[in-house]
Amino acid sequence: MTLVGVGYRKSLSDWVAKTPLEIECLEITAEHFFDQTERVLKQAVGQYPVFVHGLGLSLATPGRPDQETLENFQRVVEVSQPEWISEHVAFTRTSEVDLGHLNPVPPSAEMLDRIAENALALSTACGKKLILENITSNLKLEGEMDEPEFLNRLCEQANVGLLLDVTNLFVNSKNHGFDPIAWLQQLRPENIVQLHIVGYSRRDNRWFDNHAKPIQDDLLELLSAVVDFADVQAVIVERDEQIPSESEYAAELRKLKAVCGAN
Amino acid sequence: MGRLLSDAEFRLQFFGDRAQAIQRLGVDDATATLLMRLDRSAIERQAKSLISKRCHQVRKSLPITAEKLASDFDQLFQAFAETFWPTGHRRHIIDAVHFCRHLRLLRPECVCSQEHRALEFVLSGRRIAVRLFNGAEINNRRRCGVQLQLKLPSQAMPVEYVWSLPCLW
Repeated sequence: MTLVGVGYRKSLSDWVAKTPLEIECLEITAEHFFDQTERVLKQAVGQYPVFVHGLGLSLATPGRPDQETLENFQRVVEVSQPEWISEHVAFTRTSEVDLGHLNPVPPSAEMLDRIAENALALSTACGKKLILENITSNLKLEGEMDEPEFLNRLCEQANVGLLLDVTNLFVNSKNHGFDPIAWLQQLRPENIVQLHIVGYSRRDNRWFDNHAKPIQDDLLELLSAVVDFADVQAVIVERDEQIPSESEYAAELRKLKAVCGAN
Repeated sequence: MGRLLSDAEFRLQFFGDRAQAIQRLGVDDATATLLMRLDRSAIERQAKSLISKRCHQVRKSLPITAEKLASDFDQLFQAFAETFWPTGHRRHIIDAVHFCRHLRLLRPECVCSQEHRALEFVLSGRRIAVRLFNGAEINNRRRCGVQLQLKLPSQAMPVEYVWSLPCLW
C-alpha cells in the first residue's frame, strides 16, 4: 500500500495535529528543526510514520559532509525515528561558497564515487536507510552516462533508494526537451521508494517547481505512470507557498490516494 | 562551478575567454571538457535563480521593509546578494540581517527596526531581549515602544510583544 502525506510546514501544524485521515505519513525537513527543542520536534511528528528530508548536506561536494550539519541532522533523526532519511543528488556548497540551494552534478564516474561515498557515510552515521532525490535545474551538465543510468548505478554502489520527484522530472522534461516516460523506464523500479509531487508553474515558456500550486492533471498522469511502474511506498506533497485550506489540501491528498490505489 | 554561479564578474571573464579562464583554473581534462561545454544562458539562468530564491526568502522575513522599498527591493537585493553569500542552516535569516545592515547605509528610512531586531534576536544566543526604542512600527505609525522577545522551549519561533508608550511620545 502506498502511503500519502504532506511535507510538514509550521503553518500546517494545527491540521497535522488533528491527525486527519488523509494524512497517512509525514515528511519533515531536518533543517527546519535544527534549532528546535526535542519537545517541539516530537510535537510536530506526533504518531505518524515519518521521513526525514535533508537540504544542506551537499553530498556532491568533495570531502565529507559538513560536521555541524551532519550532527544536527543526526539529532533530528534520533528524536523523530523516521522510516528512512533522504537527501538530494546535488551540491549546495563548494569549498569557496555556500550557494544555499540545490545545483546539478555531471553524471560522471568521479561524481558517482563521490556521492556514493558521502551517501554511505550519511546512512551509516544515522543508522537509517537513505534515499536520494532527483533535482530540477536550469542547467543540464553532461557526463559519461545519462541521468537514469547514473541514478541506477548510484543506488547500487551506495546501497540507497530513490526519492523520485515527479514534478522535477516533469519540469526537467519540459525545459530540457525529453520524454519523461522513456526516462522513467530506464530506472530500475525496485529502487524507487518514495515520491515528491507538487504543482508546477509556467512563465515565459519555462516550467518551474516553486512549490506553490495545486497538482495539475498532466502531473497526475505522470504520477499514475510512476506508481504503475514501481512499488512506491509513500507519496509526499511539498507545498511551501500559498498553502491551501485544510479541506482543499485534504481533497488533493484524496485525489492522490485514488491515483495510487487505482494502480 | 560555485564561482561561476555566485560571481557575475567571474562569469563575464570566464565566458569572455573560456579557454584562457580554464587554463588559469588548472583543472583536470574531464573538468576542462565540462567547462568548455557549459551553456552560458543556462548558467546565467541558474545563477539568477539562486539569487531570486534568496530574495524571495528575505522578502518573507522582512515584509514591512519590502513594502517600504516597493519595486526597489529586488534591485537592491540583487546588488547586495552578489557581494555576500550566507552560510549554514540559518542562512535566510543571516541574509536578511545583513541586507538590513546594507540598507541602513543606503536607505535607512526604509528599514523596519522592529523586523531587523527580531531577526538579530533569532540569531543571538539569548533567550530574552527587552528594548526601549523610538520608531516602533505600531498600527503603521512610528512610536516610542518596548519590544519584548522570548525564546520558549515549547515554541518553534520566538514570541514577540511590542507596546507603544504614549506617555513618552
